[in-house]
Amino acid sequence: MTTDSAEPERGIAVYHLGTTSYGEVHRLQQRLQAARRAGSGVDTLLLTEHRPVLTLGRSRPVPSLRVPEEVVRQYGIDIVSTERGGDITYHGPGQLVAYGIIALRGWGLGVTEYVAGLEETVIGVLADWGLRGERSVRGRGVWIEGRKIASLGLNVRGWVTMHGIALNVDPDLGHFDLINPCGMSDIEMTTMASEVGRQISMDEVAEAFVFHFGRVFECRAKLQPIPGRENPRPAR
Amino acid sequence: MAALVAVPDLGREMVGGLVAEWYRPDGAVVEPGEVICRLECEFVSVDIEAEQAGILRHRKPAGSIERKGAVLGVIVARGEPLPAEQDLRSAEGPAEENAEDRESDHPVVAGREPPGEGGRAGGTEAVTWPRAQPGPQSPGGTVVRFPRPAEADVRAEPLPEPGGAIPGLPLWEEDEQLAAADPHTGASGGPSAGPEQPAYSAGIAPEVAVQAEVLSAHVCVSWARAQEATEALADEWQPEGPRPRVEDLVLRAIARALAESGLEPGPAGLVIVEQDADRSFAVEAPLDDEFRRAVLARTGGLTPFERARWVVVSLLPLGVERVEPRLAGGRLAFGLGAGRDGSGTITMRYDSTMFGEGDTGRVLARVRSLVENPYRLLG
Repeated sequence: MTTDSAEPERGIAVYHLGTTSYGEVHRLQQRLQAARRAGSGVDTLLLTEHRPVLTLGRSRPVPSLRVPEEVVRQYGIDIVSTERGGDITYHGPGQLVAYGIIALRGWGLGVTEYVAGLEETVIGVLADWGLRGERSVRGRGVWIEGRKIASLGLNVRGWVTMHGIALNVDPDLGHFDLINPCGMSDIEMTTMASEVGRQISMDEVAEAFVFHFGRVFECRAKLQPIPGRENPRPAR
Repeated sequence: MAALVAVPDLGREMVGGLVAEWYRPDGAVVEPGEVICRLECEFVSVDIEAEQAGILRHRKPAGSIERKGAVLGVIVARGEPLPAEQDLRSAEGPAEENAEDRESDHPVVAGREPPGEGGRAGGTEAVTWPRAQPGPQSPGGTVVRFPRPAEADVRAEPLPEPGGAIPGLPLWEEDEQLAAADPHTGASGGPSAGPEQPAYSAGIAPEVAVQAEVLSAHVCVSWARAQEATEALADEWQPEGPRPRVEDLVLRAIARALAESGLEPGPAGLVIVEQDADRSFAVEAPLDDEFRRAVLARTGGLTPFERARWVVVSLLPLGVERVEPRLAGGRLAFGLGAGRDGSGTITMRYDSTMFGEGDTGRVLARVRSLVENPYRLLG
């Protein structure tokens, strides 16, 4: 890394957690947000893939399912209530989830600008694979020709964010059939792999996400080693 | 010194937000940093914290959609009067104000009048939006200092006290006076009387009763779908079935929400206030497996009203938007009101010892969800 004077001063610690259960990362986010609100800690970006889970937003605490709840349980998929905005969504392997725990005041950002920045980051990542992502009047997130590829939901407390954006790299889209994603019954989900027509490496997408996050928010996004694990992946 | 709870400015693209839930009820004592309210704006939920200790008074109900800067509530010290409505409105700024034109992200008390608004009463401090450079949104936008109590004293029209009745509708006033005259009425003879209690709790109960406060919380609802479902049911049940009412659905929704929050709902009372008459009913088992049986129980009048452990008062036929039913010896009552455009409110009045923090918000949010999707209640 250079010591170029043009290097942005604002920094964010990035942790690529690999495959995780939703609960452990949820608790980690809560701890990080509490610390950040208390004025300690640093701004953090967590990247992960979850084991299959359905999460509920605050706007509808009752799951908007297309199948009976027992069927969902039979798949071994938990339904977890969260403090984020928005409706039900699915997380699972093959989906890159990015959670930013950021004190927005320090970044001079409004919440809507941060949300737009997350969408811009994903649009940048998609462009790296020759895909044209866009925003839609149908709702927040990133869309490709009317199909939804990335969903977002945030919680803000004391001007510190948590939760974030989930990009479908190559998840099992069949699991989305269990729910009405974002509460909408007529929504079609898509993935990067199906749009590109070939397999896509999750690590490369994560790397691209960190790069574009740094570009969009003009910050130094620095990949940190996970305590207890050696050899962090090099940042791009 | 009073503080305002206002819709924060979340950024340029933000138009307004939904007051999704009051975590703390109207009249609750709050501590600094405590989350009191959730605002939702698209996919973002914002937890608004109290910035000072005091008594929280709601100004906007859960379910209402408010623009940036709108004052949702006030935190006052015990015994401190509420700020005048006029000052709250001026704190919100002009209605058509554009985000780009706004002079600051948060209002502060200043010794001058707000731009474009003259002729205010002399001697009062004006709440205004001072010029400031565009920049990060500040959480300070949620709460601002308010004029001194001494000045607020002379102003008219504070927000209604929790428990204030709708003018002209002294519901159950006699019962309440009776209950006030005999402090034991509510505990022993009232509808809330439970099974015999062990000796150790005998000493606790009066102490709790002394500390108990009557609190109130309300939520906005759209009655359109409940009405639609009621009409569909009436068509389906004709000619042999009873004729359901929206109130039946609401009664069932509330019973379901109470059961889900761990409270045994028990027999319910229903008072429907119409232009010329009040009618009261009681339903022994509002959560009866078969909804039709619950409605039949109401129309059949088999349960005496005195058995009701909680009561729903409906002013839906009168078009009154909000109803604050009184707690007459009971511990839980709901008021149903309807505005002209098919929207309305469900107000919950309860004894503060009944529900923990956040419980009332969750109960009301669940009731709203069920009322707006009533097909979940049928069976």
